[in-house]
Amino acid sequence: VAEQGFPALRSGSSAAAPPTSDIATAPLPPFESPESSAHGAGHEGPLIENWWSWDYGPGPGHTHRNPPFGFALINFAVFLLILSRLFGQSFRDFLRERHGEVRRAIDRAEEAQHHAEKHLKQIEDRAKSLEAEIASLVASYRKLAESERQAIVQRAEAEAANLIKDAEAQAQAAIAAARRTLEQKTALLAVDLAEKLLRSHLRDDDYRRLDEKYVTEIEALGRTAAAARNPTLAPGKESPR
Amino acid sequence: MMVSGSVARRYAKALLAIGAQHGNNDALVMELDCLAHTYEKSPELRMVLSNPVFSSAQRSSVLEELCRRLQVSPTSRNLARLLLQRGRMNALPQIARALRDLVDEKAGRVRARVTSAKPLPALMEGRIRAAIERTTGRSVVMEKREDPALIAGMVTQIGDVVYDGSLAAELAELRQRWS
Repeated sequence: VAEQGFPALRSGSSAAAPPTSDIATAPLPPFESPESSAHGAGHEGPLIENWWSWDYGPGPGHTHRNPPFGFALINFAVFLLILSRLFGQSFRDFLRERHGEVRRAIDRAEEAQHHAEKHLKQIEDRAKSLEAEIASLVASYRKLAESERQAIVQRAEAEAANLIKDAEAQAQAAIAAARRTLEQKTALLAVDLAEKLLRSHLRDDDYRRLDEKYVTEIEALGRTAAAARNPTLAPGKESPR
Repeated sequence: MMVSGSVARRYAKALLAIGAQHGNNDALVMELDCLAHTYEKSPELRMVLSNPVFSSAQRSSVLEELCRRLQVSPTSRNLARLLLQRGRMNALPQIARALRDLVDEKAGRVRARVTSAKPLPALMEGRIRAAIERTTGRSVVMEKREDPALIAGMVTQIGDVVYDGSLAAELAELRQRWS
């Protein structure tokens, strides 16, 4: 120990020192007891000056000021032995369980760390590919918008064509209706005019000619009916009146 | 009140039976035609004979006076009284037509109403009569009328069949085609 430079205990006399007194041979800073410090005396002595003697006490009649340190060690060892006998197994179990818990916690922590590192790696990879993905998305949306725009334009053009077609059809229908109305009115006016002309310009020859035509048709009907041996009159034109 | 054709036909059949017994169906037809014509042409007469404001005695006296002036037979007079009592004076024109049709049918005649715009020449009338007789196989009783509304041409009605050869019908057909 002394060779390793650790602080060592030093006994009062090298002759009376136990084998462990080698420790005391190592140079140590001087020990100052509270009393010696209080007296201000610069007393220097071994740190453990009583190992086995029961002659100790504070007065000058005692050879040692401190109780025997060796018995104290034995006492402590006995105390440790009792503790070991009484609680050793449970303490070992506790330590073992605690060791297991700590191991499991460490394992979990390592696993979590591994998972976190993996996730971090994924995030980093994804972050790396994010720009490319954004660019791809922008390109796809742009393409979609373009196709939608073309579809809208096509629909608008088709609707415009239909509107034009409908308008033309309506215009044609209106023209046809107007033409029919005009023709109708013209025809009716022509009929009215014809009636007026007929009423004012018919001569006796015209009356006779029309009567002759009518009688001829009646006679033709009579001949047809007689030929068919049909006693009923063949139906002629029904009177509109 | 409307009177159905079947009711008028039942009255006409009864009159036909009575006329057959007395042998005066044609006279009955003429009398009823005259009565119906007078009734149809006179709104005042229709109002008096159908308005309950006038008592039945007053209405009967008016009808008796009418029959007296028209010199109708007791059969026609009794028919008129019966129609008045039953409130069916408005059936008189229908009964007259139904009786005329029944008498014509029984006598083998057909009645043709020829309407012309101008007076029908005798030659034309004969040709039309001959044509209708040839068509129907019956003798024809022609009723001639003049109607300037026809403009020109003629219209012949035989029963429910009408043969219209007038210019008015041609013009009406043209108007109908263009309207």
